[in-house]
Amino acid sequence: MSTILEGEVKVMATKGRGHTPEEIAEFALAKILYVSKDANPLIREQAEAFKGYIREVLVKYLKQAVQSDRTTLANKLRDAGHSDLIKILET
Amino acid sequence: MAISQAMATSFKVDILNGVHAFGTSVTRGSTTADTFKMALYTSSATLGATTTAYTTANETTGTGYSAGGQDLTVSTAPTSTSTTAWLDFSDETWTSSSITARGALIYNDTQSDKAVAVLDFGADKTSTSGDFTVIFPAADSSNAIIRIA
Repeated sequence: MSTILEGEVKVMATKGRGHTPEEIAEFALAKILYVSKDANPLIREQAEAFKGYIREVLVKYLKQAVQSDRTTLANKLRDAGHSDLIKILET
Repeated sequence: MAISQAMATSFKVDILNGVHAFGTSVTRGSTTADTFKMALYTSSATLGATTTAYTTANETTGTGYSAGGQDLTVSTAPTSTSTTAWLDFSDETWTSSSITARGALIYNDTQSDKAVAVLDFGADKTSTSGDFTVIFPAADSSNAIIRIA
């Protein structure tokens, strides 16, 4: 017999800020790798270790992307004559 | 030789692609994919298996949210793994928003707002001058948001 199934979603909501690189990395990890609770313990351990490595890589590069974008924004603000606002980006 | 009764896996994928029409009420004007949207709702909403179409009743309101919700992006077009057909949507974010929602409705904006799936967040979720993101599950035959097994 065939059945139509619906997966479970998660919601992440923030207050007074956007998502951090760490949070976005978790979103990406949810898409990249799922480790079943029923998986063989040895395989699960390896998968979790791999997931941890991917998490580190994602966070590192997401932070780099944020920093790089701030550089771009700083230049746009400077070009528009708002150099004083650049300090906000550094906080 | 052996005969195993089964629903063809290709048929399951075809269903998700809208290939077969057993009824006479299908209105399809082109071969392009339909537009699917996700609307957010408060805990006062009544949504479930009997929901047939998008409704504005008890839909979330607030900064950064427009009635009807936002377009979803199909990140993995209908495909199959083993005997399960599935598809996946990209995570959806309401940026710089101040909203509260308890659940959501995925519906077909192209086909008269017909309902696809109701999502229960389990509790009220609130963003305050922040981001509200619905994270879809892993894109595979065991977890994807819409599966025909």
